[in-house]
Amino acid sequence: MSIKANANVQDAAYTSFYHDAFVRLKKDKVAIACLVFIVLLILVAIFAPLIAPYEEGYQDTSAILEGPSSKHWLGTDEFGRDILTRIIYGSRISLSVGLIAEAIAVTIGVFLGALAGYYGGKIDAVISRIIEVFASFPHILFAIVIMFVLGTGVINVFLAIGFVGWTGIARIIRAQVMQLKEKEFVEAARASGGSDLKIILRHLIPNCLSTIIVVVTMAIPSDIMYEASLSFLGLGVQPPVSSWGEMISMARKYLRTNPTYSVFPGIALVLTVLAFNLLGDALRDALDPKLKNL
Amino acid sequence: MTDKQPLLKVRNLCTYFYTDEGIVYALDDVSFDVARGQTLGIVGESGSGKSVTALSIMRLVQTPPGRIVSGTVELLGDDILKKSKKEMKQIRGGKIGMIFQEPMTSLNPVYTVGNQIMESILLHGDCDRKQARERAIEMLRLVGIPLPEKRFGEYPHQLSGGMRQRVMIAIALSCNPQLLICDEPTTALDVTIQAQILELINELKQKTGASVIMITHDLGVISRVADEVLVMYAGKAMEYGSARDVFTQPRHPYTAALLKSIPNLEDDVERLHVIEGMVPSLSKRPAGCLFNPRCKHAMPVCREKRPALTTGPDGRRVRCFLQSDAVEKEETHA
Amino acid sequence: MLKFTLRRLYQTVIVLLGVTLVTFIMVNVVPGDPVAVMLQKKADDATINRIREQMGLNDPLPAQYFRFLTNAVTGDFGNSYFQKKPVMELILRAFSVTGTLAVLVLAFAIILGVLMGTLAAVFRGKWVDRVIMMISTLGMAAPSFWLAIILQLVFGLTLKWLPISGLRQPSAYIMPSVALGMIYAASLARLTRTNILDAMNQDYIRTARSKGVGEFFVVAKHAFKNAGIPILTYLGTLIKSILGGSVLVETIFSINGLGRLLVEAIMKRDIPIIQGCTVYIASVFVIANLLIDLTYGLFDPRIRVAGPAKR
Repeated sequence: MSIKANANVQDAAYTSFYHDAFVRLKKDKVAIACLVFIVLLILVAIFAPLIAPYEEGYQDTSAILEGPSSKHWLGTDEFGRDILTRIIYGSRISLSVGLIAEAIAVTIGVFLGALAGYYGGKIDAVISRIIEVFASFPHILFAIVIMFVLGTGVINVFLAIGFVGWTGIARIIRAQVMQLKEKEFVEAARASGGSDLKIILRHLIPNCLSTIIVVVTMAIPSDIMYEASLSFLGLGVQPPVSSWGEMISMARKYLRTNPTYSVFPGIALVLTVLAFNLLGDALRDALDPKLKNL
Repeated sequence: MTDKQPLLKVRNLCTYFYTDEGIVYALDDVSFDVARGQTLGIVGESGSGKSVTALSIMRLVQTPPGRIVSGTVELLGDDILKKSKKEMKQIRGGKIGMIFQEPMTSLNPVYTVGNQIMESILLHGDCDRKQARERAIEMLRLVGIPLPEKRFGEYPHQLSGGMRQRVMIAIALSCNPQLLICDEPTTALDVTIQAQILELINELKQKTGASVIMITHDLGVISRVADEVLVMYAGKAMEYGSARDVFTQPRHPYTAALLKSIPNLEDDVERLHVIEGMVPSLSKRPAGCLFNPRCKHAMPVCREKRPALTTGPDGRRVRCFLQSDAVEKEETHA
Repeated sequence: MLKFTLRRLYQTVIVLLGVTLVTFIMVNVVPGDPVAVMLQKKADDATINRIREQMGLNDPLPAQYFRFLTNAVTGDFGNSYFQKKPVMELILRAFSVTGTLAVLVLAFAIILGVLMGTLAAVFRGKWVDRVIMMISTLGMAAPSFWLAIILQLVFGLTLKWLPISGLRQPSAYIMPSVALGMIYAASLARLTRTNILDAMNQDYIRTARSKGVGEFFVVAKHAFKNAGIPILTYLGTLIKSILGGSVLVETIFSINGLGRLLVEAIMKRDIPIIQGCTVYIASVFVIANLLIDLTYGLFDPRIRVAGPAKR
């Protein structure tokens, strides 16, 4: 009975915490602008077939490598494909990467981090070494090697990037859980006979939620850049699926003759990354300023 | 007070902080003197403006949002507030030294104790590094730190709180300043160390002939070291005079109330005496005398007009309409 | 301190072992016969098998790993399948290029980033601060490969000031360094700004001012050394990111560095090079990290005397 009451107090405590954070966030005009941009981008990605002027793979052989025109607002690529269309469809890849790769990273990272933080001792030592090993590989290189193992393709890109990013979250969750487990509500939960798993799932991880939100939001732009990098190297998404990174890679060959080809996908990339970066900053300031050193 | 010119003459000092919530009148019309070779105690509750006074004299007030709005601070007849930045740098540490409340954090953790003393010496003196080093070690010895040569090369985290405060004193006095400002130097220390530090300051004051401003909320400290005392409340100077006279015959109700709230081991009381009410917000101050909401002797005029600081024939200054010679101490026991 | 050093050394060895294990497992789990690929299916099964036997590829995996490990310790990663040269030789040659580039990038990022961050902190709230922070926010959002292309476009093709490929002249190092270093300069600027502002809020700054220390030295001497400590920690991550990011820049500027070696090896499925490069790069980072941890005490005296806190 008393534990239930305790849980309610915890709930009430962080409902108003989120409410406060939300109020603070609303005041930040830049953050709101970024949020709007991201929501719009998500809508563009979802409704791409309705919004894009042409079909994704459509090749207008009469208009190869053209600059911006009334028929093709942002020009065409070497196959006559409309660049604006490909940029719109490319948003699907970029946003999906953010979503799915982070989902993978969070699952692995939170799980291992919480275990290490909660149990401490030998389990912590082993998991920490594992984290260190995987964190020793530069992210892009590791993703490249994973792509070598799995082969190219959209799904594999998601897996690769997710598998590369989990170490950061794991470390942070481990630190948080180590702090939290000393608090009274954990003792109370244990005293009422809660199993370890229940304590971790029900009490510790929800209290890390704000941290997770901040870390995820700040990791998404990195993931998007990794995907773009992989696709740029030819090791990621393969055409005709559109990826901004792949477009920039192709555009390189035509830099002298058709510079705008490489500029537009890059701008799309920069704006998206920027929006997530700024939103992440604002979220961090609103939810957990202690993470300022990330 | 004395016919010699005072070392420091502060007149009508006003320091305000301009914040989003309004103007905070941290110091409003504060005037006092510091005589040569004497200790002035500045006493008051938190928020009374005692620390801001010290920072204003040193012109270390954070600007923005703070600003020394008006007044004069004359060091031997020379108004410090009008000095250039360059001149001010020479005064700080050179003519006026200061020590702070938190010895644990007031020293830079990544430089040795010796380095930090030497820095001051090299800034204000005309000596080379070797001489500066010797003088620094000498200062460490003077403030009572054993094995000064060894301590010279140590880092602050290797010293206890009391020792760090001694180092601060060494730094502050290393260039023979004429005035030493101590802002709550013993508040963060153990009671036994407190006594030692106060003793040390007193000793050094007599040795060097410097004057001391001792800022504290602790009346006990004042009674031990102060020759003169300034009682501050809500940014205003309320009473000023010789320590002995002010404590035996307080003329301001606030001073009397402060004295009364010191617990007396001989009294047989069930409740400690407190001054009812709270210190007013410095941005939303009451009309009339700032102390009137809490004053047992408040008269109608106190609620409407702000009293001025009047000087009595014996040099005592009081800011009160009561104009009594000695506010009666109420009976504390039946 | 000695205890800490020994413990860190021990940890480093374990991590390096883990690195070799993970690399080996990943690279050798790939389906497909490298020998067949190497001979491009021109030989018959018997020949393929004979060569596999020769190369020890028919041995059980743990044995292969053990061999790989013992060889790796001596710096022998075998020979490239396609270039018929020892992998280590290729790696070292490529690393001399990547290493130089990395040092330049590091220098660029640190000098520009710390300088800008300090200026932003000192002039906090003024337009200098705002402009610097805006530029660094943008700088962090621009992917290095895209920035490289834009730089090539502007300075290489249009203005024709700088060479767009190769490293034949010293000026050829400029664009790759800037392209790669921009992101890190930007994040260093922000980090420096935060740390200096933190340091400026400390009590010892007030003490320094009360001694009559001028504002320049208050920042440069008192705040800086304290702010520099967290930046040192960041250095390790920086090195790792630079080693990774060099892949992209090397591809764009046709520089024969480690990253390019790895990518080409992956395209060709040249397993010894893939293994060697991966282990080598990870090891460089691990050792760099170790060195940073050990020299930490030089900068933070609190750690020097007491020994660092347990990880």
